[in-house]
Amino acid sequence: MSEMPGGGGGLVEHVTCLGCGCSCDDIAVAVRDGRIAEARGACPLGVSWFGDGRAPAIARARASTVTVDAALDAAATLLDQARRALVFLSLDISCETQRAAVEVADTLHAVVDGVSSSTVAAGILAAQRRGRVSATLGEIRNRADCIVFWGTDPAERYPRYASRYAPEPAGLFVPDGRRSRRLVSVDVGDARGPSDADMRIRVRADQELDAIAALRAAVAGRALGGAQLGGLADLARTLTAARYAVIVYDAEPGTLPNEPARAESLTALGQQLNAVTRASVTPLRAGGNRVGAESVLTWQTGYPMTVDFSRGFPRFRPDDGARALVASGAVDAVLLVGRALGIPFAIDAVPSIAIGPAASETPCEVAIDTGVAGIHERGTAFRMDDVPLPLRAPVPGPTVAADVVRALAQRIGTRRARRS
Amino acid sequence: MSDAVTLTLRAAPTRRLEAECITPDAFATLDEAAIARLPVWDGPHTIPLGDVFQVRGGASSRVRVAGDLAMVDAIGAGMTTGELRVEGSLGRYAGTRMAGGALYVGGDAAYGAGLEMTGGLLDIAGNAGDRLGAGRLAAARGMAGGEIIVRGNAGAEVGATMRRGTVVVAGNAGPRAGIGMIAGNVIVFGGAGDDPGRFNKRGTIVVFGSVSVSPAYQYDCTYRPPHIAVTLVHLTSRRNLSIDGGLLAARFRRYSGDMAELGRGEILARSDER
Amino acid sequence: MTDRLRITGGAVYDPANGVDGDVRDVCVEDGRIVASLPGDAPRLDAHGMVVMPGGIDVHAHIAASSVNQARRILSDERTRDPVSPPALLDAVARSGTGGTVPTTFTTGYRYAGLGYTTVFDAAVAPAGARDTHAQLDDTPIIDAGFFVLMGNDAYLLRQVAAGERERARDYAAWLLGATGAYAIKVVNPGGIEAWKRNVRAVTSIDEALGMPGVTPRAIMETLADAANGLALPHPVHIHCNNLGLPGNVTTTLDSMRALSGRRAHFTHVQFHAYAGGNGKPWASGAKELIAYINTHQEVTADVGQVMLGHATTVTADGAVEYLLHASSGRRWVNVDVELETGCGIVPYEYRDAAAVASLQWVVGLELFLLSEDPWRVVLSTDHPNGGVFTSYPELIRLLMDRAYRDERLKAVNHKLLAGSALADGLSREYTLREIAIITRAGPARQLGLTDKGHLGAGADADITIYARDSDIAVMFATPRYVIKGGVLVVEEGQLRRAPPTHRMHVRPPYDDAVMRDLSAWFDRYATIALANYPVAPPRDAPVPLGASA
Repeated sequence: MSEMPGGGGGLVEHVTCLGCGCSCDDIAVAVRDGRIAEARGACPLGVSWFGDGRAPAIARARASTVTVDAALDAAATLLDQARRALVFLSLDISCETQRAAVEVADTLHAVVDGVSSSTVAAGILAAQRRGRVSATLGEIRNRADCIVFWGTDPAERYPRYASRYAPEPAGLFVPDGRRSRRLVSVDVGDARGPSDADMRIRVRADQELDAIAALRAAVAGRALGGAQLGGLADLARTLTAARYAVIVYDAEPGTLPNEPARAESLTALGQQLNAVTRASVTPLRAGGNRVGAESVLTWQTGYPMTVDFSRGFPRFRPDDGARALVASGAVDAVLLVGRALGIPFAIDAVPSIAIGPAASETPCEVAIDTGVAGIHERGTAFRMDDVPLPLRAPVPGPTVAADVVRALAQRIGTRRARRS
Repeated sequence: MSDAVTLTLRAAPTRRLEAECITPDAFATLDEAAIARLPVWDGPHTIPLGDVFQVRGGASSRVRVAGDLAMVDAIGAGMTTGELRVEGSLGRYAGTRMAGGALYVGGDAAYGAGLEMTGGLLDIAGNAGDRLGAGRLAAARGMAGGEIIVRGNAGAEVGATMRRGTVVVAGNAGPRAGIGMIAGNVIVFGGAGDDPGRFNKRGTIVVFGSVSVSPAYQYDCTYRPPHIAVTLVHLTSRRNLSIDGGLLAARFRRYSGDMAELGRGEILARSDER
Repeated sequence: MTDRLRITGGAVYDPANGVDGDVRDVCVEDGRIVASLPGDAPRLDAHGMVVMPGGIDVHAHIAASSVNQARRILSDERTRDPVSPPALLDAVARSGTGGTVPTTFTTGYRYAGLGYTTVFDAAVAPAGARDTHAQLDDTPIIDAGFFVLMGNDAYLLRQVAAGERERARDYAAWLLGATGAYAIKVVNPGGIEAWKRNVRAVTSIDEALGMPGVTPRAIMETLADAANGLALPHPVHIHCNNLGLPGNVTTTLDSMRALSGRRAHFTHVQFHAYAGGNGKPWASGAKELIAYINTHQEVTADVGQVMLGHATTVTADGAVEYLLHASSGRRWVNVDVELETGCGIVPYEYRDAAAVASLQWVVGLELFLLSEDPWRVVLSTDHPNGGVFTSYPELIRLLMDRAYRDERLKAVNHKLLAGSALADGLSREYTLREIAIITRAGPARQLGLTDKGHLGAGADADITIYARDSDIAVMFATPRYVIKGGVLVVEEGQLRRAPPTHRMHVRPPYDDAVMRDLSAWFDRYATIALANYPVAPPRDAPVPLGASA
């Protein structure tokens, strides 16, 4: 392996990018004077995610700069004395850090949540009720001969999806790449699919669920009395005629109209398609190892988000996520692990501790800057399809997040043990 | 058995509490002092019930609760017997998984009242929040039996994923009433919000007021379903619900659906054709 | 905690060393069994108790990506089984949730609480190996390893098609090392790849699947030869074609005959031992199958008993799960994985009122009771597929207590039991020695674990001490003491310690030439860089090869 981390220069190959959920692991990072000079192969989103590798390295308690040890002591005191704490798993941390953070929550009888509860909860809950039919990106690359982008053009938020996974690459069962595949765009309201689609269906935003219901009925051989199928009948035929059909939609909020029952409807459609041919329904997910947080929470607690340890064991509280808990004043301390970006509550609403990249720039009582997972820290992250990937550390950074959170867990454990 | 156990709220809580200890089952076997020692949860901490309520009486499965309990969750959760009568409003998850007995709420009940109940009666004089008589959000199956009456309005997703039992809303129901029903009955005397009955396999949704039925449902016929008259008689005579006598002769448009699922559910929408 | 311990006065069942209930001391020093200790060494009084090596599970699903997918959809049942942290003295104790697929910490605690100290996860997708290592890192007390899925891997199938058996062996060797796996697993050979192409049934083991020459027979031969040629401690671990279908005993016997003379392990054979089909009703094929196993020394097997009650079916065998979903209407997960394998999940309940579930329960018991060699036919429920591992004590009672078994038999549905050996009356009752074989010594021998499954000097000090009880299930469910690596983890029936665990894995040599070919394959088809594919090598040294040869 050509990994050469350290303060000098060189080229670090096969670096995994967490700029979006594609988690491209073919980035070559050129390092000069301990900084990132270039992220070769990265898309614009990735280039911006890597940045220049500079990261603040401050530990702060209230207004003063302190040692990491002193900041950890202050953090442990604040959390230990809280009546009820929230541990929030944010972005750009490794699974190793997430594992330690869930331990902190367990020991504290706190609530632990992540970004998923305020972004993709409807899809997660639908999968719990109904299951799912899915495929990893390698299967889509090598097998999908029909790809439906549902109100989604991956070029916007997942720039290399098309070239790495589908529809562009030649795959084992689709040897001519794009020409081996039928590309379908379903435009939902203003949310449009790829412009070069072979087939285009328009669906009114307020008729999306009915359109999926019509597809499902058609696939099941039932007619919908009076419903105008229009192009949907063609789409149903296209899907059932495919060898391996894949429906791709963007699970993250922002582009498709808000429709909480979409994920369940598409999942049900995918399950029904498998009575006839092979099909999968795969959500696009954003970056920062948010998918890893769901996996870690699931193996440690059984639930992928919003877990309340207040009874000393995990309870799943999807209707009481971080946003509601902070807004209602139910928690009086927050431990934020990861970046303070895109979190669903105001970090200064309650006394808080931030451990993560640029934590010292947040208005927190205690802050410990760490590196960014995959830029300064090694570890594991999950791709949008739940496939785990290794993270490299092309440039040196501040304290390693996993070490800091483990040290915090140990301090809290010691205090609690002393008391009991 | 003594007279009823009476709980009187000492002061309105400032934070949400969970008090699933308040059930006729628990109180039937405990004396006053033991009831006052039962734990109420305040986040990860417990408070004795007696610190939150003044407790009078013991060893009775008839329970009276006075005060505004809008910040107290899970009252009556899991109850199987007796009578629990609450004077004011209740917080979330009232009567969750109750299996028997009767829970009367004098005011409103918030989110998730009667969640996954399997038997008994939940009677709410005021309004109900979202997910009345539904399943937990991640559960494939919701309410499995019993009867819920709401004399005011109900929020979104009444009776979601229910598989047996009846939910009656005297006023209006919010959007997605009866979403994902496996079986059972949802009866709405007012209007129903958008998209009732999505994903239903079986089950019946009756709407007397205005309703817009999705094209995923198929119109069958307009008729006078005999079982509705039976239900109305039950609700007036046994549940003391005042119902316009003219409704007994109402005709309904019958729709089957969700045609994307089994197509064996129905929405009965009161017809204006006389 | 001292590093020395003399367990005195117990009746010791150590079949690997010919000890059958003799009252004798067992001495522990520095985590291992030793022949003797000075007289002043601390003592643990085991008078009147039964002393066995720690339990070893040869086939369970506890830490794969598929297992985590299953956990995620089972929120209903785990809400009813919350688990508070045990009162540990030496480690941070963690909470969790149970149900049919417990969380990682709870899995470790519950296995240890049953006296099991070593467990193998039986099905890990190569691309998910990193996930499995992380989950096992969070699974306390028990030593663990896993089998990596190869029987539907597109690269391997191409080597089979080309007759490149040596390259296939080199690839298998590389993949074992790259994933930190312990053995080669084959699930529904060729059938998962066929399912991805919408071919849903495999008619015979000589059916070409997608490519000329790629038959289940050729896949099994190639991988059996690879495992044996590499002198892996555990031979190829095979889940045959046509799991759960009536008449599949023919396929199973054909598969065993195909590998005649080759060492191979056939897993959860209960699910592969049904007669009937082709218009005839389901029936037990146990007699036929066990007769073959009894007379063929090269075959080892675990039973995969169905336990009546709740289960969750989790398998790489996606086509089977589609059928289960379609017939039961239950939740269904399917994930097709990276040209490597598949994953299907359906929560399930084996009800004693159901004819097929009752037959499955009977078939498993028949296999146990007609087996003539407990070393080669060992205990499993294919957790959580046939039942949860916490049901092992109940299963042991069914094997040891005929009166109880006959009572249970009366309660099941008899519709499909005509001509079944169990229904006709099987009087055998397993002895404690035989139980020690099918739950300890046998799995250890099958797995090629020389330091486990026995209490001879040099063995790992993994020991379970049971207080006798008139109810066998109670005795096996609540060991009085469990010692893991010399550490007393269960004391007076309470979980007290969670010592560090070990990962069992192999790292066989291979000819580097395969890497050139593989590198081109990865460039063309993979979505993970070859350089990123291997996991970080586990802390523990690889298990030596050839140990079982």
